Amino acid sequence: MSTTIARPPTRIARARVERLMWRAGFGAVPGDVDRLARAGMDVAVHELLFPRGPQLRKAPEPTVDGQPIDPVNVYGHDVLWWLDRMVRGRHQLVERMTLNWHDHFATSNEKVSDARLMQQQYFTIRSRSVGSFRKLAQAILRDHAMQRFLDLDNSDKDDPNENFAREFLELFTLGVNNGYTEQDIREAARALTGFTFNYDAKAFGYDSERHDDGVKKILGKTGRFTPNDVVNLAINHPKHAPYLCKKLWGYFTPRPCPPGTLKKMVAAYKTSGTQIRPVLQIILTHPALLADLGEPDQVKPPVVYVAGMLRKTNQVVTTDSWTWMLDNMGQRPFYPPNVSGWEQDEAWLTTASVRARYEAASQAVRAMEIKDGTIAKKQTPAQALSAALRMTGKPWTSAQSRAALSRYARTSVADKTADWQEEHYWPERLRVLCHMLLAGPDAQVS
Amino acid sequence: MLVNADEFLLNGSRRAGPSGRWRIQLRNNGEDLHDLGIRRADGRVIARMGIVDANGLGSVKVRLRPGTYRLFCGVADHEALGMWWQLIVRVPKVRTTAP
Repeated sequence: MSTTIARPPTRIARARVERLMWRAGFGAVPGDVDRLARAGMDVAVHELLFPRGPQLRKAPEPTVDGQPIDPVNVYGHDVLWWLDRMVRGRHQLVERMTLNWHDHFATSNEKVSDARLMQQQYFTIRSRSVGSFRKLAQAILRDHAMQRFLDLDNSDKDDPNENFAREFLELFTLGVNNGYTEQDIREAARALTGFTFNYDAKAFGYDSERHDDGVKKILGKTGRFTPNDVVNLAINHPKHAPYLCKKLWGYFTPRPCPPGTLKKMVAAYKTSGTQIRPVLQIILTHPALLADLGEPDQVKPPVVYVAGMLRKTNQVVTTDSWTWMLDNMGQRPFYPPNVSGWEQDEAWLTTASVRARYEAASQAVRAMEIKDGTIAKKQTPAQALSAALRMTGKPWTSAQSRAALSRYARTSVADKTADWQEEHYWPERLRVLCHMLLAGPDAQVS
Repeated sequence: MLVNADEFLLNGSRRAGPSGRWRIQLRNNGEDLHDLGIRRADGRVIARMGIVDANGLGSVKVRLRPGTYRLFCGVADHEALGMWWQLIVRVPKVRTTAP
């Protein structure tokens, strides 16, 4: 009888899966990189695009000071609530796309002032995040947080508010100055009138008496258009599909989209009836996504960085510090800076935000509880580095970083011979190695 | 409970709740200074948070008995301009177990 022992995956196979899981999710949980590296990239992409089973992993629910979080009634807990969904989420692409659409359809609770409405918007987006864009846009039109944020509620035929119409054409469907005019915005605003909000009763509705049912001319078409018609007219416009596909591409790689690939994505989007999944499939299987694995070129957005750090170290949300830390890093979910969303890539790295990232890594290392007196003096430098790698989920590290970490592991305790020094400096070596793996340059990019 | 303040509205995360100890937070999303007071139906103010700066967060702990309360901003004429929120405090439901 022979026993088959699974071979460990190659370094390149692991690096590919790591890249994919960081770009299309929030980093892989320990064990998933090896499993998917053995299964192959096709399987990994398929699992992302067609997730099955429960939405959340079996892991403790989020707490603060040992108590369950209260996202509606306690300041900052709304952020923890979403962070937890990223950390424990099993449908990683769906969660990541929910964040991407939150950036695209940026809505801030700073103005909405109602965490319940923001949570509803999260679910509105999540359930449509990889499906039909047309349905997603129609749902966003009726989303109460969005209606409040862009003043669509109480936009009346006598005084149409142009905010939603402008952003819908400029940011959500066509792009700045891309195939529409100021007159189109004014006419679209007329077609979008009729939504109501009663502040005292906190009730949203639609009143046909307040809707402008006159004839409008929008994007070259004439008719008695309604709010849904505005969505359809914009999505049917020839400039919409290239704009949206290019924007989607940009969420996954900072490299320019090759013209041939853009054509392919546009064709897939149109023939599928504005489905997002076929476009994502093209992006996730494109060689550009896996190019230059040794020189990652996308800066991890702060919330991706934090959620991934917690996933890789097998932690869950147990402190409200994450809310202000994410704020200091420049990305607080539910609070984008403006309707254009967050600036991406290099904009994430400022002296202040990098410092906040270091503090976040310190928080994660503290939670590992590597206490003084817990590491035996016989631990070799190689064992220390190996333990740190294991405790941080074996993150990708460049050859240069590995050499630096090995050097530190060798030299940091070389002259620490007294008993009291052994108590402190051996665990300290492990803590520093973990910290450098979580906060060093390699950890900031994917 | 979280109350969001902006010029000139207060928006509470709850409209009603059980009597007992409450922690009420005020998040100032506006540009002006704001404050939070809690007034009983008989007109007596039972708690004041103190001024909260723009983008600031304030918090007050208070014991609330059953009744109707008005949460208000005590700065200048902000309450008259609409910065108030009504909160109803009820007797907590008592769980009964079958014999």
